[in-house]
Amino acid sequence: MNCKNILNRLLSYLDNELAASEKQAVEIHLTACSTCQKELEALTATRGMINQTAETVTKKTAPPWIWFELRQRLDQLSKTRPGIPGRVLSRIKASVSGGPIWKPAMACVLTLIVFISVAWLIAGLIGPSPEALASNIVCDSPEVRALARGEPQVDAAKVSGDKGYVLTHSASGEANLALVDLAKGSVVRVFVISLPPLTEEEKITSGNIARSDQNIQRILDNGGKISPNEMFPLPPVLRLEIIDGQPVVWSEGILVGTVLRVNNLVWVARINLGEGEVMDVSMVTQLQGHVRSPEAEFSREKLVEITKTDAFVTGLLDMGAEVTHAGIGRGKMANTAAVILKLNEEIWSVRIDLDNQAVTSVELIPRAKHGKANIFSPGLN
Amino acid sequence: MSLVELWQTGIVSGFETLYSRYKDMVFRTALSMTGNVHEAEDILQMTFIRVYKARDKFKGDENALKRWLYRVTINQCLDFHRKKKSRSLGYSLDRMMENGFQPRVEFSNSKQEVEEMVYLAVGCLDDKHRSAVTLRYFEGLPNEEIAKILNIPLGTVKSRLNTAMKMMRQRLVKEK
Repeated sequence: MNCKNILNRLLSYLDNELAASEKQAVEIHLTACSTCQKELEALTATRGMINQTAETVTKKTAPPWIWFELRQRLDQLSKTRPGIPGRVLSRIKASVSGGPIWKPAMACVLTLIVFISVAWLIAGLIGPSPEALASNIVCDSPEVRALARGEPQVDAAKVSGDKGYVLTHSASGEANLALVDLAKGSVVRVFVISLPPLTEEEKITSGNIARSDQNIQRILDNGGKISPNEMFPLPPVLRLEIIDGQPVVWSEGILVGTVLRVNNLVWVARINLGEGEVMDVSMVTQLQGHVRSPEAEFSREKLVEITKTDAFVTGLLDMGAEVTHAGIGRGKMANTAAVILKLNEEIWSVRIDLDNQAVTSVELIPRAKHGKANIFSPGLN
Repeated sequence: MSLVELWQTGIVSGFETLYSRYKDMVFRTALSMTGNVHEAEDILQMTFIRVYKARDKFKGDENALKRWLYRVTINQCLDFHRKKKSRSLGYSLDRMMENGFQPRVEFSNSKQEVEEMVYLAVGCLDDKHRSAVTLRYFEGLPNEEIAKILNIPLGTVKSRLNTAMKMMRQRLVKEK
């Protein structure tokens, strides 16, 4: 073989794709030809560089937020294209228009009866879903109850293996994500979902929207005031998804919460900036006096007093930490309380065993990271 | 129920399962073809929008689906670059060389530098050579599979890889 033939076979030689006789011929030529040898070296070096880059590429994975953007785009697409319900409906319509009306009507009724019976049977056999179980565990947790200033509202619950993720919000709209160990039936961690602060322009617009609402106008007529200092960003429409076993919270649009006070009464109005309207106005029970649970009644002061028996908590308080929330668990957790402390940007949870009136743990509550396109991912391992 | 059947029922979880299984493959292919993470992210979305739209039309098993996904991804990459009009990748490497940038044969460069050089060299290839290199060396597919994906004879795959390697070698490895 001459050099031209050899050069054309060098890549196949490198990839070990040549027949034994061809391979031998190439090797014989290479021992005698320095030009082809150099070419082989250069090709080997090139392949080495490509392999190195390919190795890095192999480790790359699609970012989790892509799924949310994709879902959003597909939702928009499906508005212009009938989805499954639209198709089923059009099929029913077609069958109705094509034959006697009682046949499809009877079929629909029978299908409904079968569906309800099956659902009832399944519900009776399997009991609450893992999502419902996770939600119950979270709603009983003293930390979540403390952060919610009472009854947490469950926005979404997802289960992945023996882990449950429950997204809740408080009466004033702050959102938390709780990680549940379903096997143990307990909350492992609670995350606070924090949003970037509002701009001055957003505050002014929110004030104008609030003033145009009839309910807020009534509060203002009774001496209530809207203050830009008491406006805060709220997680708006929150969705929870599990991507590659990791919880990701996704929010859309901007919601603003504004506090209105008249004497000792406090209201929180939720304003949708995108739509330019007030979503709702609700009264918030302030945590001034007693923290209640069906089994126990403790004053907030008493709980704070118990936290001070712990040296670490005393240290936090000495450094200027403030008590912001306190709550008592429910159900299995009824003998446990949580006091939430805030020190600069850190949020600490102090757990109290109410039977022994002692601090059992002090933990930093992580804030969920704020990523691209309003994605919050706690980055759990 | 197979993945293809699940996807074609139209339920969200079917599409989600398909996405979960193939998102990294599509993302990696797009990244190898473009050398740009942001472009790869856009192409990933565009590819799965195509997949979503073609649900009723697709016929075949999961192997055929995988080949079709590669084909759609590659076509999306090529469309993306056509829309961008100017092929900035090739231009930058040439300009870098004009400004005194010298590729070397030794691996004295940092890992990142080597990878950037490879991305640039891949970017300088024309569409058909770049597709072959991506599938062969970045996705590690056998030549027979590449022939099926690109719908070309096996011999053409081999000759494209040969030409592509010679072109890349010219750009990446300095003569001693």
